[in-house]
Amino acid sequence: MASTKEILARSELFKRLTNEELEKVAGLGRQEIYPEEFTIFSESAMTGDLYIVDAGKVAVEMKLSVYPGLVQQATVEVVLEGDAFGWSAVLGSPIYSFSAKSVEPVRLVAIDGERLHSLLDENPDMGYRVMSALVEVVSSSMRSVKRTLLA
Amino acid sequence: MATIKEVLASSDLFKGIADEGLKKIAALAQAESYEVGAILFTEGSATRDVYIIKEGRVALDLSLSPTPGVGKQTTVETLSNGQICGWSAVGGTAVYSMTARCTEPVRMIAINGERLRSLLDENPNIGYRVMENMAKIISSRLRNIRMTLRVFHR
Repeated sequence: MASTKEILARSELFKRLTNEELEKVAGLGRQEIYPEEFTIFSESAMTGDLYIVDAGKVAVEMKLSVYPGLVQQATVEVVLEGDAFGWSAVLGSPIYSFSAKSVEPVRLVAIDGERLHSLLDENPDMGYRVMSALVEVVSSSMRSVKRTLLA
Repeated sequence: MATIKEVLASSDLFKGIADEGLKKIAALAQAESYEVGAILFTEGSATRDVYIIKEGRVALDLSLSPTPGVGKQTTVETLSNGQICGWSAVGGTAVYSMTARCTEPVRMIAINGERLRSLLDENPNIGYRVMENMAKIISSRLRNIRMTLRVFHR
C-alpha cells in the first residue's frame, strides 16, 4: 500500500512540493477507506477535511431546484484518482458547497483544512505552489463541469 | 478619487496584500474605460489581461454549446466594483472561460496576466495571498456555473 506521502506526491495539488514539504503535509493527513455509495460529506455540512483521491471515484453532488417546490440531488462532476475535493476546507469557508459520495469503493487521504492552512501560512513559498495548483484544479473543474452538463 | 493602489487594496483579488506588494502590482496596472455593450474578452479567446472593476457592472456570459462562441449564451454572474474578471490570464489557463460584457459604462484597472504572474513567482509571499484569493473567487464562480448550467441540463 502506498504511503500518504507517495499519494500526495502524485496528486495534482501537491505534486510540486519538495520531499521535505510533502512530509509536513503527510503529517497532517490520514488514509481513509469508504464503501460504494458512501456520503463522505454533505452539502452545507461544516467543513473539516480536504480530500485527495488515491483510488476509486467520487461524485460531486448538489441540491438544485428544478422548479419551485422540487429539489433534486444532481451529480455535477466525478472526481478521479489524483484529484482533490472539499477545497472549501482549506479556503476558510465554514460549510461545504456540495456533497461528496463514493461511486465505487474509494481510498482517500483526508487532511485537516485548518491545519493545512496554518502550515501554508507559515511557509508562504510552499503555500504559493499549493494555491497555484488549487487554482488550476478549480479551473479544470470549471472546464469539465461544462462538458458534463452541456454534453 | 481613489488611486490605483487603493482600488487594488479593496478588490477581491488583492485584499490582504501589504502596501509594498500593492505598489509593485500597481506599477503593472493601467486604468481603462468602456462603454455599455463593450466586450472585454470572449470565451475561448487567448488570455491577456486580468481586470478589476472600479465602477459599473460587467456580466459574465457562458455559451450553452460545448463550442465556445456558438449558439445561445447565458449570464452566470454580474460583477460590480471590487470584483475581478479575466482571472484565467493569471491562473495559468490559455483561454478565457467566459465572455465579459459591460452592462453599464465601466471604469476598470487592467493588468497584464503574464507580467503579474512573473511578479508573483518572484514574490511568493504576495503570490500566496493572491492565489488564495483567486482560489476563493473561482470556486464561488464554479458553484454559480454549476447552478446555472444545471437549469439547462435535460
